[in-house]
Amino acid sequence: MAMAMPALLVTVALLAYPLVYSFWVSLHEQTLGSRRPAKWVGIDNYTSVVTDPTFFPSLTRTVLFAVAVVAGTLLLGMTFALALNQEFPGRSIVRGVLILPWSLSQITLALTFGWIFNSTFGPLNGALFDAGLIDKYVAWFASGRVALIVMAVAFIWSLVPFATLLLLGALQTVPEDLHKAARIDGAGPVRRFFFVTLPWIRDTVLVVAVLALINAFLAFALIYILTGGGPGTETTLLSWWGYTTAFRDLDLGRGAAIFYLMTLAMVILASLTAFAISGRGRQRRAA
Amino acid sequence: MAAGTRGRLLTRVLRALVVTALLLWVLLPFYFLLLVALTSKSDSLRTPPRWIPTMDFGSFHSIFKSAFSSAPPSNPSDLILPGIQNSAVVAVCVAVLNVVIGSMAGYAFARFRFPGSKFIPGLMLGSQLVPVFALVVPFYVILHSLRLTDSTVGIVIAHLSFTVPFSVWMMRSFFAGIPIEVDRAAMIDGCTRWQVFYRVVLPLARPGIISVGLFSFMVSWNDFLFALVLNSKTDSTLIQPAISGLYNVREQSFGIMAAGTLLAALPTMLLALISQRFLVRGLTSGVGKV
Repeated sequence: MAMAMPALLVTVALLAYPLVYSFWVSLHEQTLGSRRPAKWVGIDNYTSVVTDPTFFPSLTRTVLFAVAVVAGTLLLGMTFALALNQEFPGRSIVRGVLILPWSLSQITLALTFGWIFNSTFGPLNGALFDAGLIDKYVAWFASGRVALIVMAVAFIWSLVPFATLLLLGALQTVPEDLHKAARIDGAGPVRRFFFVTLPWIRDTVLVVAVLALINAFLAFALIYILTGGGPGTETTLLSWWGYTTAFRDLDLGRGAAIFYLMTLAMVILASLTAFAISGRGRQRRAA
Repeated sequence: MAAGTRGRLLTRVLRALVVTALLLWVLLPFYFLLLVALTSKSDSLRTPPRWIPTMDFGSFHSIFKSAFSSAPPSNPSDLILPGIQNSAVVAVCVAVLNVVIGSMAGYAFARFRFPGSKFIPGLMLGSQLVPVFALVVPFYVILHSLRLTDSTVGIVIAHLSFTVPFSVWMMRSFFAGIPIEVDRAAMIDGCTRWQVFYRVVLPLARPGIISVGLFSFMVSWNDFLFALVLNSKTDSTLIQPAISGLYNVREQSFGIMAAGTLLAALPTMLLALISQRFLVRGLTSGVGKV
């Protein structure tokens, strides 16, 4: 019991207390650097955030961005994991390099993809031009929609290898007998994947989906480096809006309110994902 | 029979394609970084670009040059090496504290029954859902009032907040995998509880300790938000904010940007490569029990 004390102290003092404190801040009007004591405003910060014209577009963008990242990560991760689940020469080397993108920070990710997608000197435009696929360089960050897609690609790039490793680990636990039995029953590879493999590794799929979801909601450094939320507010996700409100406009109470609403949206989306993945899997097993 | 061999050939071609795509997917961005980092500035501004590096070390040279001059930092690339130094101190402190705190608590949760011993670890895993954004406002206000912004102590404390709960969870699952008979045998041989933990069980949990240490080091090293908000002065800057200043499209110093990015990513990349089995095992320790 005494051995758990330091961890409990850290968790309570550094996690639970700040969370409660930031909720308290979100119910006050508090400006950074001002000497005036915080003024109680009740849920005013929340109502002003929700009625702000930036709110719904940012929420929608955040959710769409997260869904795109989760879907891309799962699809590519699963494809690569299925390929790596077979024996072939050099497999361990391929597995070895997989961890590399995952070890990068969001800033290094942003700088790397900012360079690749640089509209004038970046290698992507150069390669597409050399291959004759475009006859004019593309300004990737000029349109908010394309910029968001570029950022989603960067995120998927960094998450896919790790997803592949997790899914591969799960694939290796699928009993060979199940596949044999299904093959005898006349199920082809596609049906075997959906009715044997997928239900078996359902929990891992869920973990990968939720990890990708959390990461997508924390997309902040990419926006900080690459677009600054613009053009206009076209790439403003909730995380970026909260950061600029709290630390650029110095409105801590409102910033905290945005972060709480963002957390709420993330928890709802994570629960929906959990429900979609495990709920449907269970039905299938029962059937 | 003929259809069977043709089918197998098709599978092999398909697999080769997917594996090649995977390798390109993973490695191409690194190649593009290395390419521009090892190209002189004038060559890096050619359109269309060169695809083979010219082995020009000018970018790395200008990053390292400032480390040996006593002049105050004048441009963003001068902050890279100080940033690496500051981040190394912070990340090592965070890793050591996580190992100490995490292994003690992990052992307690794996072996003893007390009020909350069942559900607190689950709560700690669940705390991973809390976005760090919800913590950064209170940490700024609290550390500012304690005059702990722009200090190593302050940023280490902040990093502990979101690393310790996961470390406890990971260590608990490693200790849970060590048979309790080991503890009993050591107790019969006359060890105290503390000696059982320190001399007998802890050495057995070495893979867990390595995972926790590596993981918390990497999280601390890669943190940008807290580093940006809490340590904003130039002499306390950490590596991620330091390199964030390198993205300046107008300056067009892409070589220095790429070289700085590679230098900043090198420690975590090397750690991840060397110890990937520990990391994967550690991070998946919760999977399947959720």
